[in-house]
Amino acid sequence: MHRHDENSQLEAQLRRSLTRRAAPVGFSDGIMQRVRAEAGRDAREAPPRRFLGLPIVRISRPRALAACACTAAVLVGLAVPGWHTRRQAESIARQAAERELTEVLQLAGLGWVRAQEAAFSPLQEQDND
Amino acid sequence: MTRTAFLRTATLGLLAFFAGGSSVSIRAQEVPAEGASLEFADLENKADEVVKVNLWGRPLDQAKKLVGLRKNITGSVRSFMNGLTAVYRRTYRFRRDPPSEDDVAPVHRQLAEDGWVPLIETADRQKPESLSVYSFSRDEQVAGMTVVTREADEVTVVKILGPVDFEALSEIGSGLGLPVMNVATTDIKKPSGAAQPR
Repeated sequence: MHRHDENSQLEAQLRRSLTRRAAPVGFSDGIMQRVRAEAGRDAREAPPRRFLGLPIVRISRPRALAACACTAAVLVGLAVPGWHTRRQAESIARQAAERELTEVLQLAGLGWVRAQEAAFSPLQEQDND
Repeated sequence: MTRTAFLRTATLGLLAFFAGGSSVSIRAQEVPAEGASLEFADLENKADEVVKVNLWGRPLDQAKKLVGLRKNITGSVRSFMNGLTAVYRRTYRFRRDPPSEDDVAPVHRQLAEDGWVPLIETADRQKPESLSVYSFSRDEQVAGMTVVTREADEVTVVKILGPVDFEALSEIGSGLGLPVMNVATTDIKKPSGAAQPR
C-alpha cells in the first residue's frame, strides 16, 4: 500500500507538471517578432556580395533606373563635345589636304611648264631664225 | 541573366569599347618609303622654314574628292588626279643664307639612288636658280614625277606617284584645268622662259 501511495503521488505530481498550459497572450507574436529581428540583424551583419572587388549595393528598381539614366546622361554629355571636336578636326584636315593637293599639283604643273619652256624655247627660236 | 552576370557583361563591354576606341585613336600613321626617302637633314637644318606634305591613302582620296567637286576642272586633270597614289612636298625657305647647288645635291643624289631618271634639267648662270624634272617608270609607263626647284630663297621638292599625264600637268601649269582656290602666292611663280638648258 505504501508503495502504491508513493506511485500515486508521483503520478499526480507528474500530471501537474505535464499539464498543458495555454501560452500567455501575445507570446507567439513576440516570438515571431524576435525571429524577424534576428534575421534582419544577420542580413545586416553578413558581408556584402562583391563584383570586381566592389560591393554590390542593393537598391530599389526606381533608384537603379534613375542611376542608369544619370550615368547615360553624363556619358552622352562627355561624348558629344568630343564627337563634335573630332568632326571639326576632320573637316579642317580634309580642307588642308585639299589645299595641299592643289598646291602640289600646281607646283608640279608649273615646274613642268617652266622646264618645257626652258628646254624647248631656244630650239624654237633657232627654228624661227 | 542574373544581376552579377549583367554587371560583368556590361563592364566588359565598356572596357572593350574604350580599349577599341583608344587603339583606333593612337594608331600610328607611318610615311611610306617613297615619302620617307624625302628627308634631307642638311637642308632642313639650314632652312628657316620647312613645309612638309605627305598625302596618301584616305586623306588623299578625300582631297581628290573635294578638288574633283570644284567647277571648271577639266576631265583630263580629274582623271590624272584620280590616278595619283601619293603626293609629297618639301619646301625649305631661307631668309639669311641662300641655298647653293651643293645644298640641293643630296636631293638629286637620293632621287638617282631611288631609280628616278632626270627628264629635264635647267639652270640659270645669271641667277641662283635651277629646275629639274625627274620621272619614274614602271612597266614601261611613267609611274611618277618629281620636280626639284632651287630659287634664291627657296628649295622645293614635289613628288607625285601614279600614272603621269603630262598634258594634264601642262594644263595645270598654264593655269587651266584646275581652278585655284586660296593658294599661297609666294609658292606659285609665273613661268619664266629665261632659264637656259644645262
